[in-house]
Amino acid sequence: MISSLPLLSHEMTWPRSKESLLVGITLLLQVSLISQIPIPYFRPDLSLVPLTLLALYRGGQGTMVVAFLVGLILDCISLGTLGFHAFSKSLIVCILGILGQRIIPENRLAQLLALLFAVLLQFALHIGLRFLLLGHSLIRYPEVVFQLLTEVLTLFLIFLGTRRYILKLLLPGERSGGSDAHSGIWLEPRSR
Amino acid sequence: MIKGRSTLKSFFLPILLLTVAFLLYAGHLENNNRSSLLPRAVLRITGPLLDISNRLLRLIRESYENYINLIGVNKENELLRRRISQLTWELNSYQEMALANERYRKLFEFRFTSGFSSLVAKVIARDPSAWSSSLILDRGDRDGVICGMCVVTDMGVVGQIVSVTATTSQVQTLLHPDSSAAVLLQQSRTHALLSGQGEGREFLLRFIDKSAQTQPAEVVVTSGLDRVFPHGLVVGIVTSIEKLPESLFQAVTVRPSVEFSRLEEVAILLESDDFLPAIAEPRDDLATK
Repeated sequence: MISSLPLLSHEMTWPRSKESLLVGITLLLQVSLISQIPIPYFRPDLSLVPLTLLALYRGGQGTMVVAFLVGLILDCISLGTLGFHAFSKSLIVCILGILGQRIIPENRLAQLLALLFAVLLQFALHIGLRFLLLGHSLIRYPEVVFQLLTEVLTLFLIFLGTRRYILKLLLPGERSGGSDAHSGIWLEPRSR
Repeated sequence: MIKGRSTLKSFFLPILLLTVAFLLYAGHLENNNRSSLLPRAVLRITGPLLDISNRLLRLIRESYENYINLIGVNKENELLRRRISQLTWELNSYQEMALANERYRKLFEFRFTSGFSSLVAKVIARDPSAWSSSLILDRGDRDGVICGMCVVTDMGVVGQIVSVTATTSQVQTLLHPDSSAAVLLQQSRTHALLSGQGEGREFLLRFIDKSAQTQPAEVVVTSGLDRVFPHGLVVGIVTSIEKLPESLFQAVTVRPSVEFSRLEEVAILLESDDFLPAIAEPRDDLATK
């Protein structure tokens, strides 16, 4: 069953230096800029944008290593539970990497859905893991809803605003040309 | 067999990363100890970078704030300029009011010192013709103004009311060529008849005998003999005296004490105990339409 899915190619595809730099810059912005916005519960995770794109386009294990490191750095800098970001981002990239093999990554809607999935999964992990492991519920509805909505909206806006440049700069000539060239999201089943 | 190995290999790293991350998370869930080696090492490494980025962002933020402040300063500057303009206008109006107040005060002082009952009037128009000299005042019949009343300022005699409507009245000034007044030279006590010669020209004193001891700079006042202008009001100062051999009288010119071109307010003398103005006949040619 597993071998029938081309989930994670054993040929490790490492993100190139530009791509890693972009992730690093978003991490830096996250730590230095977003953290200083004086709006309670407004902390959109900027690193999800490049990680989502990289996971969809690169899909390999290399992106997962980058996601792990980014998460670890975030964990160390923030005062959250150490390991959470490393775990959640690794998992997100892993799943998106698998999805990237099945969907058309150039499709804008697919990218947006992937980003939405990333945000929701990170939220679910943040709340669910703690609840499962400690029995503590972190859900405070107004705050959580506000945080989720603002994060999704902000990341969507940032994604839509920067997507073209990110793809042009970082993935020249590599499935980065058209935005909605394909009408669907899913690829045709592969003939083996 | 080879295929199974490669599949296992492809899953090895992801599973390893996820396991490590999860164990890390689970291990710190109960006791999130930040004093372990890893966070400190990461902070030590990322610290300088964060410091630089923080400084950079602060620089950008400060530059932006300075720029915004600069825009604010411009706006404030514009507002202040408008305010200055407004205040300058107000100051001018206040100065104007102060000057008007001063003139009114002098007129009232004149009213009290002269013993005449008077009515202060504003000059609302001047004679448009160059050959006559008249003023239109904002007081008329409703205010008790009648033809023949004397119009003065604190500087001296202005003229005589020649036409009255309900709300306005017209003054024939002493400068008018048809104007004349009985006057008296203050020092020499010589009586004479003062005649106007038109705008911008001095008065002419007529019928002064050659033997009269007239002096230059002598003050000329009204004598009251004409029953129009009360006695003792200043008219002007003698500027020149000519005694022509072929003439029976001296030719004396008088500089008006009143600056007719700058008149803004005047006093209309209504009545006094010892003087009642003669009712002059209204003049059709000067009447206000």
